[in-house]
Amino acid sequence: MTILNAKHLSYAYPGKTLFKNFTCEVKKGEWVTFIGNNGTGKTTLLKVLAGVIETQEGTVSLIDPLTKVQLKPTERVYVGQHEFSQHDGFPATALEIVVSAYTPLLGLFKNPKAHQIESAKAMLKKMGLESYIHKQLSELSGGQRQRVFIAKALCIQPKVLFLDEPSSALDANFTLELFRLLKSFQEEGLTILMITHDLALAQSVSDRIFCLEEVDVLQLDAPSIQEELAHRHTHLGETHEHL
Amino acid sequence: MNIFNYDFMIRALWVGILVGLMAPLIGQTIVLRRMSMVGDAVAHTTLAGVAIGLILGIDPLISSLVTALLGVFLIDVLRKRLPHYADVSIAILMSLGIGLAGTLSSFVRDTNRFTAFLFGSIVAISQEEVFLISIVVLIVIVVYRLFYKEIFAMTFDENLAQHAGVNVKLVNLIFMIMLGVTLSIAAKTVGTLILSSLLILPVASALQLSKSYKSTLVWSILFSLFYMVGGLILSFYIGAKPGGTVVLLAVLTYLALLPIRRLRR
Repeated sequence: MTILNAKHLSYAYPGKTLFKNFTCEVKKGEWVTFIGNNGTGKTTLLKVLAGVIETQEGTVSLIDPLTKVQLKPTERVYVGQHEFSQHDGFPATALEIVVSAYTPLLGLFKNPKAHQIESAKAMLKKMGLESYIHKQLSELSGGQRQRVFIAKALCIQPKVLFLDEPSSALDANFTLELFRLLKSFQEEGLTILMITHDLALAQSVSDRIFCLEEVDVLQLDAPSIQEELAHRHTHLGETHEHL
Repeated sequence: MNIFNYDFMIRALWVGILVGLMAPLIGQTIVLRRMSMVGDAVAHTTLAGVAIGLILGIDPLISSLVTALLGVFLIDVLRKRLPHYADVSIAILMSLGIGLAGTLSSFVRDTNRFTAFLFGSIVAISQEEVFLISIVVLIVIVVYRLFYKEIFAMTFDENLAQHAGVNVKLVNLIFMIMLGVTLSIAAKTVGTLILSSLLILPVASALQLSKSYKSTLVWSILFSLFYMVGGLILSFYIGAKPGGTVVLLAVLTYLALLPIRRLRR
Protein backbone atom coordinates (compact mmCIF):
# COMPACT_ATOMS: atom_id res chain seq x y z
CA MET A 1 0.00 0.00 0.00
CA THR A 2 2.79 2.42 -0.92
CA ILE A 3 1.57 5.99 -1.46
CA LEU A 4 4.94 7.76 -1.77
CA ASN A 5 7.89 6.28 -3.58
CA ALA A 6 11.19 8.20 -3.61
CA LYS A 7 14.11 6.76 -5.53
CA HIS A 8 17.76 7.85 -5.47
CA LEU A 9 17.12 11.46 -4.52
CA SER A 10 20.11 13.78 -4.46
CA TYR A 11 20.26 17.51 -3.94
CA ALA A 12 23.20 19.89 -3.76
CA TYR A 13 23.86 23.58 -3.61
CA PRO A 14 27.12 24.92 -5.04
CA GLY A 15 29.79 23.69 -2.62
CA LYS A 16 27.41 21.67 -0.41
CA THR A 17 25.65 18.36 -0.92
CA LEU A 18 22.49 18.17 1.18
CA PHE A 19 21.56 14.54 0.61
CA LYS A 20 22.65 11.82 -1.74
CA ASN A 21 20.91 8.75 -3.13
CA PHE A 22 17.97 8.80 -0.68
CA THR A 23 15.41 6.08 -1.35
CA CYS A 24 12.28 5.45 0.66
CA GLU A 25 8.76 4.07 0.39
CA VAL A 26 5.99 5.45 2.58
CA LYS A 27 2.85 3.42 3.13
CA LYS A 28 -0.66 4.86 3.18
CA GLY A 29 -1.53 5.98 6.71
CA GLU A 30 2.08 6.00 7.87
CA TRP A 31 3.65 8.85 9.91
CA VAL A 32 7.25 9.49 8.91
CA THR A 33 9.39 12.09 10.64
CA PHE A 34 12.66 13.69 9.61
CA ILE A 35 15.06 15.07 12.19
CA GLY A 36 18.51 16.57 11.90
CA ASN A 37 20.59 19.61 12.70
CA ASN A 38 20.04 22.98 11.08
CA GLY A 39 21.32 23.19 7.52
CA THR A 40 21.24 19.45 6.86
CA GLY A 41 18.56 19.84 4.19
CA LYS A 42 15.40 18.65 5.95
CA THR A 43 13.20 21.34 4.44
CA THR A 44 14.67 20.81 0.97
CA LEU A 45 14.04 17.05 1.24
CA LEU A 46 10.44 17.57 2.39
CA LYS A 47 9.83 20.06 -0.40
CA VAL A 48 11.26 17.64 -2.96
CA LEU A 49 9.05 14.83 -1.63
CA ALA A 50 6.00 17.13 -1.69
CA GLY A 51 6.76 18.33 -5.21
CA VAL A 52 7.16 21.95 -4.12
CA ILE A 53 10.61 22.01 -5.70
CA GLU A 54 11.98 19.74 -8.37
CA THR A 55 14.49 17.10 -7.49
CA GLN A 56 17.95 17.39 -9.02
CA GLU A 57 18.42 13.65 -9.25
CA GLY A 58 16.07 10.73 -8.72
CA THR A 59 12.31 10.43 -8.85
CA VAL A 60 9.36 10.93 -6.51
CA SER A 61 5.96 9.44 -7.20
CA LEU A 62 2.81 10.03 -5.18
CA ILE A 63 0.21 7.50 -6.29
CA ASP A 64 -2.98 6.49 -4.54
CA PRO A 65 -2.53 2.75 -3.90
CA LEU A 66 -6.26 2.09 -4.29
CA THR A 67 -7.04 3.99 -7.46
CA LYS A 68 -3.49 3.80 -8.90
CA VAL A 69 -3.91 7.44 -9.92
CA GLN A 70 -1.31 10.12 -9.29
CA LEU A 71 -2.28 12.40 -6.41
CA LYS A 72 -3.69 15.80 -7.35
CA PRO A 73 -2.15 18.94 -5.79
CA THR A 74 -5.12 19.14 -3.40
CA GLU A 75 -4.43 15.59 -2.21
CA ARG A 76 -0.81 16.23 -1.25
CA VAL A 77 -0.59 19.38 0.81
CA TYR A 78 2.57 21.02 2.05
CA VAL A 79 2.52 23.32 5.08
CA GLY A 80 5.80 25.16 5.25
CA GLN A 81 7.34 27.23 7.98
CA HIS A 82 5.72 30.62 7.86
CA GLU A 83 7.92 33.48 8.81
CA PHE A 84 6.13 35.66 11.31
CA SER A 85 6.30 38.77 9.16
CA GLN A 86 5.67 37.07 5.81
CA HIS A 87 2.03 38.07 5.42
CA ASP A 88 2.12 41.17 7.59
CA GLY A 89 -0.25 43.84 6.40
CA PHE A 90 -2.21 41.52 4.13
CA PRO A 91 -5.89 42.26 4.73
CA ALA A 92 -7.32 38.75 4.98
CA THR A 93 -9.13 37.09 7.87
CA ALA A 94 -8.29 33.62 9.17
CA LEU A 95 -11.53 32.36 7.62
CA GLU A 96 -10.74 33.84 4.20
CA ILE A 97 -7.34 32.10 4.23
CA VAL A 98 -8.80 28.71 5.19
CA VAL A 99 -11.69 28.95 2.69
CA SER A 100 -9.18 29.71 -0.08
CA ALA A 101 -8.03 26.09 0.25
CA TYR A 102 -11.12 25.13 -1.76
CA THR A 103 -10.12 27.30 -4.75
CA PRO A 104 -8.35 24.60 -6.80
CA LEU A 105 -10.98 22.01 -5.83
CA LEU A 106 -13.86 24.16 -7.05
CA GLY A 107 -12.26 25.07 -10.36
CA LEU A 108 -12.87 28.26 -12.30
CA PHE A 109 -16.03 30.37 -12.00
CA LYS A 110 -17.41 28.62 -8.91
CA ASN A 111 -17.82 30.00 -5.41
CA PRO A 112 -17.22 28.12 -2.15
CA LYS A 113 -20.44 26.51 -0.94
CA ALA A 114 -22.04 27.15 2.44
CA HIS A 115 -21.05 23.71 3.79
CA GLN A 116 -17.42 24.33 2.79
CA ILE A 117 -17.40 27.63 4.67
CA GLU A 118 -18.90 25.82 7.67
CA SER A 119 -16.19 23.11 7.50
CA ALA A 120 -13.53 25.82 7.36
CA LYS A 121 -15.01 27.41 10.49
CA ALA A 122 -15.21 24.02 12.21
CA MET A 123 -11.55 23.33 11.42
CA LEU A 124 -10.52 26.70 12.85
CA LYS A 125 -12.51 25.84 15.99
CA LYS A 126 -10.68 22.52 16.25
CA MET A 127 -7.45 24.49 16.03
CA GLY A 128 -8.55 26.52 19.06
CA LEU A 129 -9.13 29.65 16.99
CA GLU A 130 -12.88 30.06 17.50
CA SER A 131 -12.63 33.68 18.58
CA TYR A 132 -10.11 34.52 15.84
CA ILE A 133 -12.14 33.40 12.81
CA HIS A 134 -12.80 36.96 11.63
CA LYS A 135 -9.50 38.43 12.83
CA GLN A 136 -6.94 39.63 10.32
CA LEU A 137 -3.97 37.29 9.92
CA SER A 138 -1.55 40.10 10.80
CA GLU A 139 -3.22 40.41 14.21
CA LEU A 140 -2.48 36.78 15.10
CA SER A 141 0.64 35.50 16.82
CA GLY A 142 3.14 33.22 15.04
CA GLY A 143 1.62 30.11 16.63
CA GLN A 144 -1.92 31.15 15.76
CA ARG A 145 -0.92 31.81 12.16
CA GLN A 146 0.68 28.38 11.99
CA ARG A 147 -2.61 26.86 13.19
CA VAL A 148 -4.50 28.78 10.48
CA PHE A 149 -2.30 27.22 7.80
CA ILE A 150 -2.68 23.73 9.29
CA ALA A 151 -6.46 24.25 9.37
CA LYS A 152 -6.29 25.31 5.72
CA ALA A 153 -4.40 22.13 4.85
CA LEU A 154 -6.68 19.78 6.79
CA CYS A 155 -10.06 21.17 5.72
CA ILE A 156 -9.71 19.85 2.18
CA GLN A 157 -8.94 16.35 3.52
CA PRO A 158 -5.66 15.62 1.74
CA LYS A 159 -4.27 12.10 1.41
CA VAL A 160 -0.70 13.08 2.23
CA LEU A 161 0.24 15.95 4.53
CA PHE A 162 3.76 17.41 4.60
CA LEU A 163 4.47 19.44 7.74
CA ASP A 164 7.63 21.47 8.20
CA GLU A 165 8.09 22.00 11.95
CA PRO A 166 4.39 22.31 12.73
CA SER A 167 4.96 22.85 16.44
CA SER A 168 7.86 25.33 16.26
CA ALA A 169 5.74 28.33 17.27
CA LEU A 170 3.14 26.48 19.36
CA ASP A 171 2.98 26.27 23.13
CA ALA A 172 3.30 22.86 24.79
CA ASN A 173 -0.43 22.51 25.52
CA PHE A 174 -1.58 23.16 22.02
CA THR A 175 1.20 21.05 20.52
CA LEU A 176 -0.28 18.07 22.36
CA GLU A 177 -3.78 19.01 21.19
CA LEU A 178 -2.59 19.38 17.58
CA PHE A 179 -0.82 16.04 17.53
CA ARG A 180 -3.88 14.31 19.00
CA LEU A 181 -5.92 15.79 16.17
CA LEU A 182 -3.34 14.80 13.54
CA LYS A 183 -3.24 11.29 15.01
CA SER A 184 -7.01 11.00 14.59
CA PHE A 185 -6.66 12.03 10.93
CA GLN A 186 -3.87 9.47 10.53
CA GLU A 187 -6.13 6.76 11.92
CA GLU A 188 -8.60 7.62 9.18
CA GLY A 189 -5.90 7.03 6.56
CA LEU A 190 -3.95 10.30 6.32
CA THR A 191 -0.26 9.85 5.56
CA ILE A 192 1.98 12.36 7.35
CA LEU A 193 5.56 13.35 6.61
CA MET A 194 6.91 15.80 9.13
CA ILE A 195 10.05 17.67 10.17
CA THR A 196 10.65 18.40 13.83
CA HIS A 197 13.47 19.16 16.23
CA ASP A 198 11.56 17.51 19.06
CA LEU A 199 12.81 13.92 19.05
CA ALA A 200 10.67 12.87 22.04
CA LEU A 201 7.59 14.14 20.25
CA ALA A 202 8.69 12.47 17.03
CA GLN A 203 9.13 9.18 18.83
CA SER A 204 5.66 9.33 20.39
CA VAL A 205 3.79 9.90 17.11
CA SER A 206 5.91 8.51 14.29
CA ASP A 207 6.01 5.09 12.72
CA ARG A 208 9.48 5.76 11.35
CA ILE A 209 12.12 8.41 11.98
CA PHE A 210 14.85 9.43 9.55
CA CYS A 211 17.86 11.45 10.58
CA LEU A 212 19.68 13.71 8.10
CA GLU A 213 23.42 13.59 8.71
CA GLU A 214 25.99 15.10 6.39
CA VAL A 215 24.87 13.66 3.03
CA ASP A 216 23.10 10.55 4.31
CA VAL A 217 19.51 10.10 5.41
CA LEU A 218 19.47 7.28 7.95
CA GLN A 219 16.44 5.51 9.33
CA LEU A 220 16.70 5.37 13.13
CA ASP A 221 15.86 2.13 14.92
CA ALA A 222 14.49 2.04 18.48
CA PRO A 223 17.87 1.69 20.29
CA SER A 224 19.44 4.54 18.33
CA ILE A 225 16.45 6.79 19.13
CA GLN A 226 16.91 6.01 22.84
CA GLU A 227 20.64 6.68 22.53
CA GLU A 228 20.00 9.98 20.72
CA LEU A 229 17.41 11.01 23.33
CA ALA A 230 19.83 10.22 26.16
CA HIS A 231 22.59 12.14 24.36
CA ARG A 232 20.34 15.17 23.87
CA HIS A 233 19.23 15.01 27.50
CA THR A 234 22.83 15.02 28.73
CA HIS A 235 23.78 17.75 26.26
CA LEU A 236 20.82 19.87 27.39
CA GLY A 237 21.84 19.34 31.04
CA GLU A 238 25.36 20.53 30.27
CA THR A 239 24.03 23.61 28.47
CA HIS A 240 21.82 24.44 31.46
CA GLU A 241 24.81 24.08 33.80
CA HIS A 242 26.80 26.45 31.57
CA LEU A 243 24.01 28.98 31.66
CA MET B 1 -23.38 76.91 -13.03
CA ASN B 2 -25.08 73.51 -12.97
CA ILE B 3 -22.71 70.69 -13.73
CA PHE B 4 -25.49 68.57 -15.25
CA ASN B 5 -26.29 71.17 -17.90
CA TYR B 6 -23.12 70.16 -19.71
CA ASP B 7 -23.16 66.98 -21.79
CA PHE B 8 -19.36 66.64 -21.66
CA MET B 9 -19.50 66.76 -17.85
CA ILE B 10 -22.18 64.08 -17.67
CA ARG B 11 -20.02 61.92 -19.94
CA ALA B 12 -16.95 62.64 -17.82
CA LEU B 13 -18.78 61.75 -14.61
CA TRP B 14 -20.11 58.53 -16.10
CA VAL B 15 -16.61 57.52 -17.21
CA GLY B 16 -15.32 58.63 -13.80
CA ILE B 17 -17.77 56.29 -12.09
CA LEU B 18 -16.81 53.41 -14.41
CA VAL B 19 -13.07 53.96 -13.87
CA GLY B 20 -13.70 54.42 -10.16
CA LEU B 21 -15.40 51.02 -10.05
CA MET B 22 -12.74 49.28 -12.10
CA ALA B 23 -9.46 50.72 -10.75
CA PRO B 24 -9.58 49.16 -7.23
CA LEU B 25 -10.18 45.68 -8.65
CA ILE B 26 -6.74 45.88 -10.18
CA GLY B 27 -5.29 48.23 -7.56
CA GLN B 28 -5.85 45.87 -4.64
CA THR B 29 -3.72 43.14 -6.19
CA ILE B 30 -1.12 45.67 -7.39
CA VAL B 31 -0.74 47.08 -3.86
CA LEU B 32 -0.77 43.75 -2.04
CA ARG B 33 1.70 42.10 -4.45
CA ARG B 34 4.00 45.12 -4.00
CA MET B 35 3.77 45.84 -7.75
CA SER B 36 2.99 49.55 -7.61
CA MET B 37 5.85 50.35 -9.98
CA VAL B 38 4.44 47.98 -12.61
CA GLY B 39 1.34 50.17 -12.74
CA ASP B 40 3.51 53.23 -13.24
CA ALA B 41 5.59 51.61 -15.98
CA VAL B 42 2.56 50.41 -17.94
CA ALA B 43 0.96 53.84 -17.47
CA HIS B 44 3.92 55.42 -19.24
CA THR B 45 3.62 53.06 -22.19
CA THR B 46 0.03 54.26 -22.62
CA LEU B 47 1.43 57.76 -23.21
CA ALA B 48 3.60 56.40 -26.02
CA GLY B 49 0.41 54.83 -27.40
CA VAL B 50 -1.36 58.17 -27.27
CA ALA B 51 1.46 59.77 -29.29
CA ILE B 52 1.34 56.96 -31.86
CA GLY B 53 -2.45 57.30 -32.15
CA LEU B 54 -2.30 61.06 -32.65
CA ILE B 55 0.43 60.75 -35.32
CA LEU B 56 -1.31 57.97 -37.24
CA GLY B 57 -4.78 59.45 -36.85
CA ILE B 58 -6.09 56.48 -34.82
CA ASP B 59 -8.23 57.00 -31.71
CA PRO B 60 -5.62 57.34 -28.89
CA LEU B 61 -7.82 55.16 -26.69
CA ILE B 62 -7.27 52.22 -29.05
CA SER B 63 -3.56 52.86 -29.66
CA SER B 64 -2.84 53.30 -25.93
CA LEU B 65 -4.72 50.08 -25.22
CA VAL B 66 -2.44 48.26 -27.69
CA THR B 67 0.78 49.73 -26.26
CA ALA B 68 -0.36 49.06 -22.68
CA LEU B 69 -0.92 45.39 -23.53
CA LEU B 70 2.44 45.24 -25.34
CA GLY B 71 4.04 46.81 -22.26
CA VAL B 72 2.46 44.21 -19.99
CA PHE B 73 3.84 41.37 -22.11
CA LEU B 74 7.25 43.00 -22.39
CA ILE B 75 7.47 43.17 -18.58
CA ASP B 76 6.65 39.49 -18.43
CA VAL B 77 9.32 38.61 -21.02
CA LEU B 78 11.96 40.76 -19.29
CA ARG B 79 11.10 39.33 -15.87
CA LYS B 80 11.70 35.82 -17.20
CA ARG B 81 15.02 36.89 -18.72
CA LEU B 82 16.08 38.71 -15.55
CA PRO B 83 14.44 36.65 -12.80
CA HIS B 84 16.50 38.14 -9.98
CA TYR B 85 16.10 41.75 -11.11
CA ALA B 86 12.33 42.22 -11.45
CA ASP B 87 12.64 45.95 -10.77
CA VAL B 88 15.10 46.32 -13.65
CA SER B 89 12.52 45.04 -16.14
CA ILE B 90 10.02 47.58 -14.80
CA ALA B 91 12.56 50.41 -15.07
CA ILE B 92 13.42 49.36 -18.65
CA LEU B 93 9.76 49.43 -19.67
CA MET B 94 9.23 52.80 -18.01
CA SER B 95 12.26 54.24 -19.81
CA LEU B 96 11.01 52.82 -23.10
CA GLY B 97 7.56 54.32 -22.52
CA ILE B 98 8.86 57.77 -21.60
CA GLY B 99 11.52 57.69 -24.33
CA LEU B 100 9.01 56.77 -27.02
CA ALA B 101 6.40 59.23 -25.76
CA GLY B 102 8.96 62.04 -25.56
CA THR B 103 10.38 61.41 -29.01
CA LEU B 104 7.07 60.80 -30.76
CA SER B 105 5.44 63.83 -29.13
CA SER B 106 7.71 66.02 -31.28
CA PHE B 107 5.85 64.71 -34.34
CA VAL B 108 2.36 65.26 -32.94
CA ARG B 109 0.79 68.31 -34.59
CA ASP B 110 -1.99 68.87 -32.06
CA THR B 111 0.13 69.27 -28.92
CA ASN B 112 -2.86 70.36 -26.84
CA ARG B 113 -4.52 67.00 -27.40
CA PHE B 114 -1.30 65.27 -26.40
CA THR B 115 -0.78 67.25 -23.19
CA ALA B 116 -4.44 66.60 -22.27
CA PHE B 117 -3.34 62.99 -21.74
CA LEU B 118 -0.74 63.99 -19.16
CA PHE B 119 -3.21 65.32 -16.58
CA GLY B 120 -6.46 64.18 -18.20
CA SER B 121 -9.23 66.15 -19.78
CA ILE B 122 -12.91 66.13 -18.96
CA VAL B 123 -13.94 67.58 -22.27
CA ALA B 124 -12.03 65.05 -24.32
CA ILE B 125 -14.44 62.12 -24.11
CA SER B 126 -16.75 61.52 -27.06
CA GLN B 127 -20.07 59.66 -26.98
CA GLU B 128 -18.57 56.73 -28.93
CA GLU B 129 -15.73 56.46 -26.44
CA VAL B 130 -18.20 56.44 -23.53
CA PHE B 131 -19.92 53.48 -25.17
CA LEU B 132 -16.63 51.65 -25.76
CA ILE B 133 -15.40 52.36 -22.21
CA SER B 134 -18.71 51.15 -20.72
CA ILE B 135 -18.47 47.82 -22.52
CA VAL B 136 -14.81 47.28 -21.62
CA VAL B 137 -15.41 48.14 -17.95
CA LEU B 138 -18.36 45.74 -17.82
CA ILE B 139 -16.14 42.97 -19.25
CA VAL B 140 -13.36 43.71 -16.73
CA ILE B 141 -15.82 43.62 -13.80
CA VAL B 142 -17.37 40.33 -14.95
CA VAL B 143 -13.97 38.71 -15.57
CA TYR B 144 -12.73 39.90 -12.17
CA ARG B 145 -15.80 38.43 -10.47
CA LEU B 146 -15.30 35.11 -12.27
CA PHE B 147 -11.66 34.89 -11.17
CA TYR B 148 -12.12 36.50 -7.74
CA LYS B 149 -11.03 33.50 -5.67
CA GLU B 150 -8.10 32.67 -7.94
CA ILE B 151 -6.91 36.30 -7.86
CA PHE B 152 -7.17 36.22 -4.06
CA ALA B 153 -5.06 33.03 -3.87
CA MET B 154 -2.46 34.44 -6.28
CA THR B 155 -2.32 37.79 -4.48
CA PHE B 156 -1.92 36.18 -1.06
CA ASP B 157 0.93 33.86 -2.02
CA GLU B 158 1.79 33.05 -5.62
CA ASN B 159 3.98 30.03 -4.85
CA LEU B 160 1.51 28.58 -2.38
CA ALA B 161 -1.32 28.99 -4.90
CA GLN B 162 0.70 27.37 -7.68
CA HIS B 163 1.58 24.38 -5.55
CA ALA B 164 -2.03 24.03 -4.39
CA GLY B 165 -3.07 23.56 -8.01
CA VAL B 166 -4.28 27.06 -8.92
CA ASN B 167 -3.52 27.91 -12.55
CA VAL B 168 -1.42 30.93 -11.58
CA LYS B 169 -0.04 31.44 -15.10
CA LEU B 170 -3.52 31.82 -16.57
CA VAL B 171 -4.79 34.01 -13.73
CA ASN B 172 -1.70 36.21 -13.95
CA LEU B 173 -2.11 36.60 -17.71
CA ILE B 174 -5.77 37.61 -17.33
CA PHE B 175 -4.86 39.98 -14.52
CA MET B 176 -2.11 41.68 -16.53
CA ILE B 177 -4.47 42.13 -19.50
CA MET B 178 -7.02 43.72 -17.15
CA LEU B 179 -4.26 46.00 -15.84
CA GLY B 180 -3.39 47.19 -19.37
CA VAL B 181 -7.05 47.75 -20.23
CA THR B 182 -7.79 49.64 -17.01
CA LEU B 183 -4.79 51.94 -17.39
CA SER B 184 -5.42 52.81 -21.02
CA ILE B 185 -9.03 53.70 -20.27
CA ALA B 186 -8.22 55.72 -17.16
CA ALA B 187 -5.50 57.63 -19.07
CA LYS B 188 -8.19 59.43 -21.03
CA THR B 189 -9.93 60.84 -17.97
CA VAL B 190 -7.24 61.51 -15.39
CA GLY B 191 -4.06 61.48 -17.45
CA THR B 192 -1.11 59.11 -17.55
CA LEU B 193 0.96 60.87 -14.90
CA ILE B 194 -1.36 59.98 -12.03
CA LEU B 195 -2.64 56.62 -13.28
CA SER B 196 -0.75 54.60 -10.72
CA SER B 197 -2.05 56.86 -7.92
CA LEU B 198 -5.55 55.97 -9.04
CA LEU B 199 -4.77 52.30 -8.56
CA ILE B 200 -2.95 52.71 -5.26
CA LEU B 201 -4.58 55.50 -3.22
CA PRO B 202 -8.11 54.04 -2.88
CA VAL B 203 -6.61 50.74 -1.66
CA ALA B 204 -4.15 52.51 0.64
CA SER B 205 -7.09 54.44 2.12
CA ALA B 206 -9.21 51.28 2.50
CA LEU B 207 -6.37 49.48 4.30
CA GLN B 208 -6.72 52.05 7.10
CA LEU B 209 -10.25 50.89 7.82
CA SER B 210 -10.77 47.28 6.81
CA LYS B 211 -9.76 43.88 8.13
CA SER B 212 -10.78 41.37 5.50
CA TYR B 213 -9.91 41.08 1.81
CA LYS B 214 -13.54 41.53 0.81
CA SER B 215 -14.14 44.60 2.97
CA THR B 216 -10.88 46.15 1.68
CA LEU B 217 -12.23 45.75 -1.84
CA VAL B 218 -15.59 47.32 -0.95
CA TRP B 219 -13.94 50.26 0.84
CA SER B 220 -11.47 50.70 -2.03
CA ILE B 221 -14.33 50.99 -4.51
CA LEU B 222 -16.14 53.53 -2.30
CA PHE B 223 -12.99 55.62 -1.90
CA SER B 224 -12.19 55.33 -5.59
CA LEU B 225 -15.68 56.54 -6.57
CA PHE B 226 -15.41 59.41 -4.10
CA TYR B 227 -12.00 60.47 -5.44
CA MET B 228 -13.03 60.23 -9.09
CA VAL B 229 -16.43 61.89 -8.87
CA GLY B 230 -15.36 64.40 -6.20
CA GLY B 231 -12.19 65.28 -8.10
CA LEU B 232 -14.03 65.72 -11.41
CA ILE B 233 -16.70 67.98 -9.87
CA LEU B 234 -14.01 69.99 -8.10
CA SER B 235 -12.00 70.36 -11.31
CA PHE B 236 -15.12 71.61 -13.09
CA TYR B 237 -15.87 74.36 -10.56
CA ILE B 238 -12.31 75.57 -10.06
CA GLY B 239 -11.36 75.18 -13.72
CA ALA B 240 -8.39 72.89 -12.99
CA LYS B 241 -7.18 69.76 -14.76
CA PRO B 242 -9.04 66.68 -13.42
CA GLY B 243 -5.89 64.61 -12.86
CA GLY B 244 -4.54 67.08 -10.33
CA THR B 245 -7.76 67.51 -8.36
CA VAL B 246 -8.49 63.76 -8.24
CA VAL B 247 -5.05 62.91 -6.93
CA LEU B 248 -4.94 65.78 -4.43
CA LEU B 249 -8.35 64.85 -3.03
CA ALA B 250 -7.13 61.26 -2.69
CA VAL B 251 -3.84 62.12 -0.99
CA LEU B 252 -5.49 64.56 1.45
CA THR B 253 -8.20 62.02 2.36
CA TYR B 254 -5.55 59.33 2.85
CA LEU B 255 -3.57 61.60 5.17
CA ALA B 256 -6.74 62.45 7.11
CA LEU B 257 -7.40 58.73 7.57
CA LEU B 258 -3.97 57.94 8.99
CA PRO B 259 -4.86 58.76 12.64
CA ILE B 260 -7.86 56.39 12.44
CA ARG B 261 -5.61 53.37 12.05
CA ARG B 262 -3.53 54.51 15.00
CA LEU B 263 -6.68 54.96 17.09
CA ARG B 264 -7.91 51.49 16.15
CA ARG B 265 -4.68 50.01 17.43
